Amino acid sequence: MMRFNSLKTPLVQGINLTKIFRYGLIWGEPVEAVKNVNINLLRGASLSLTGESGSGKTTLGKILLGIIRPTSGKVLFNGIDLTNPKRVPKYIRRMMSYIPQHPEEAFDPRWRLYDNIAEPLRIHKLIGSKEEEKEIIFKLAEDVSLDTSLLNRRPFEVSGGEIQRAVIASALATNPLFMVCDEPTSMLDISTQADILRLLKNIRDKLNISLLFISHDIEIASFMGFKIAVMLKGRIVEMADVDKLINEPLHPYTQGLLGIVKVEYVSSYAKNCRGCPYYDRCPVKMLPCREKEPKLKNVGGDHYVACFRY
Amino acid sequence: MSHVSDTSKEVILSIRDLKVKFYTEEGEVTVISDVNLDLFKGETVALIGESGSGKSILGHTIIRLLPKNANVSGHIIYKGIDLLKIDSSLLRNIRGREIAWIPQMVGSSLNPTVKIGVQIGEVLIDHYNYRNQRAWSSAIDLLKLFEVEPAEEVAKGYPHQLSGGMKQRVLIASAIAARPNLLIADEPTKGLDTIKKTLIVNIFKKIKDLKPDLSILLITHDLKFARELADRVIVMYCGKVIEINDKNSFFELPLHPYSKLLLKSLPSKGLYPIPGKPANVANPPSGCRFHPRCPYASDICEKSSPPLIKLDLNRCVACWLYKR
Repeated sequence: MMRFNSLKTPLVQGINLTKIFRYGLIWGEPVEAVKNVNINLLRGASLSLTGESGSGKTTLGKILLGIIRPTSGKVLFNGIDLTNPKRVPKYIRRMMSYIPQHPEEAFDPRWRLYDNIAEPLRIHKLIGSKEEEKEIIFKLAEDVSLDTSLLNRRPFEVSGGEIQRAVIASALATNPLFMVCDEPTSMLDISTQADILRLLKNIRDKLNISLLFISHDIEIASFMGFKIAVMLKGRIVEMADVDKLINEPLHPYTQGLLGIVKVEYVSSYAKNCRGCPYYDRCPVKMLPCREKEPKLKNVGGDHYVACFRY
Repeated sequence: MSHVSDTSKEVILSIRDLKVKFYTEEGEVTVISDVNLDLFKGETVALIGESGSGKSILGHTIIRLLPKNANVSGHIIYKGIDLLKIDSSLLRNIRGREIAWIPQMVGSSLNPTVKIGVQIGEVLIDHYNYRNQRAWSSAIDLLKLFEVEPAEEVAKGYPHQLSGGMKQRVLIASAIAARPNLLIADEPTKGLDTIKKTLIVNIFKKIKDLKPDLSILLITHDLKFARELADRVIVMYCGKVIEINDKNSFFELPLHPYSKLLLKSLPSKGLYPIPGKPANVANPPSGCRFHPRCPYASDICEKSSPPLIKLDLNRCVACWLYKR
């Protein structure tokens, strides 16, 4: 069994992460999906990533899980580098899990929910007998308040909220330490959404899981995280504790997302800019913003912002 | 213009005693029962409810896109014509030209092998006998209006080259190209982020400015979006209309207990989920269909179903709490 570092050192650490996709979908240019991102996640802490679609939230989440290999930079999970998949021991994999945006895509449509939930247990050979497996899965279903009579159904025979619960159960099966939730509720009703978010929050607090929560809705992001990082064109432009970010947003883009300032819409993909990524749309832009990119810096009290005005 | 009384407004679509049944392997399922509605000229109505409440089915019924195993009874009257009785050739003239439909699945609603400009313009060729050249330039004008830039390039391109937000705008453009009188939009903001939602809101406002007498029926469960655009709100639960209300009074003082709880489950109101499970239309609860989840439920709620009680000109609710 691996030993865990003390609570103060981060469980997941992303150092100078950059991911460049070589083949853009539209114009064939290289696209900087994630650029120079440094991110730390302590044990039991939770961080929300927010930003509009195409800002690189999902890519960053997948890099931190070791699903996508970054172009440069390092991901350390409890000190082990995930960027070289061949050197990653298998037991690391069961310590992290992923909840995708479309739950029905995570499951095999031909399998019953029971088998889908049991799959990670079977892959990692964590169970001795059929009875033990059944016991664990019923316990998991209870944890996520999924009706056990639904376990015999197939994914398309249950509602969106129920399948999302089953996906969460499956993600919890291996007792992960680190979980990435990629917009788990964007396809659900508001009431079901409230239900699932509360469930995730309870699980996080009960099992002491480090959670990376990806959402384009800043209100939901602030409900789920201790900290929020706002992403724009692959960069983190502002990061702070929830209260601080919501009450005193500094970056003009964050102010726009919170509805304080109007955000102009510019269809803006695949353009790798030289200066500030927000230059085109910024209402308070200055001269240096076009030429130089502002660095993420601490403006006091763990409030990081990448803007020349601070 | 919600303060204007019913009589002074022109009714564009009225639905009477609508009932939709599906014949399935497990028997008959009534997905919509006893729906009575009026849509007025020039107003925007948001039809809200959770998934499975029958709101999309209602939209499909109006434009007659239901599958063959559906059995519809009642009347849907548009400009004096009962849409449920007319034959398909007459229906073809109404669909697209008079009543337009923006479907829910953005990804699968555009033809992947046809150029965007052709897909937007074809409705003009069909209904107004435009020449190809003229339809094409109208399509480009619409794309420009909706800020799908560069419009000429996009028109020559195919759906797979567009992002989700752009596809949604293309769909809206092709729906309003023929200048319909009634637009039915099925979940136009599903899966879009906050900034793109604002953009869609602005597009609907633009459409409204261009053609002020256009009526819009927004089928959505995005309450923020409904609040931005709608004049009236209609709430459906388990196949029934349970509340009809003005926008402002709905968001400040909702009538039905379900609406009250629904507003509480918004992120800005603290994300409190509605207790219990959504009612299943295949096996609805007795009496008021919301009573198993309702904090105010009493004996009468379990026994008999409340009628839609008219409180004043613009507000109706189906709840025994409001029965004097």
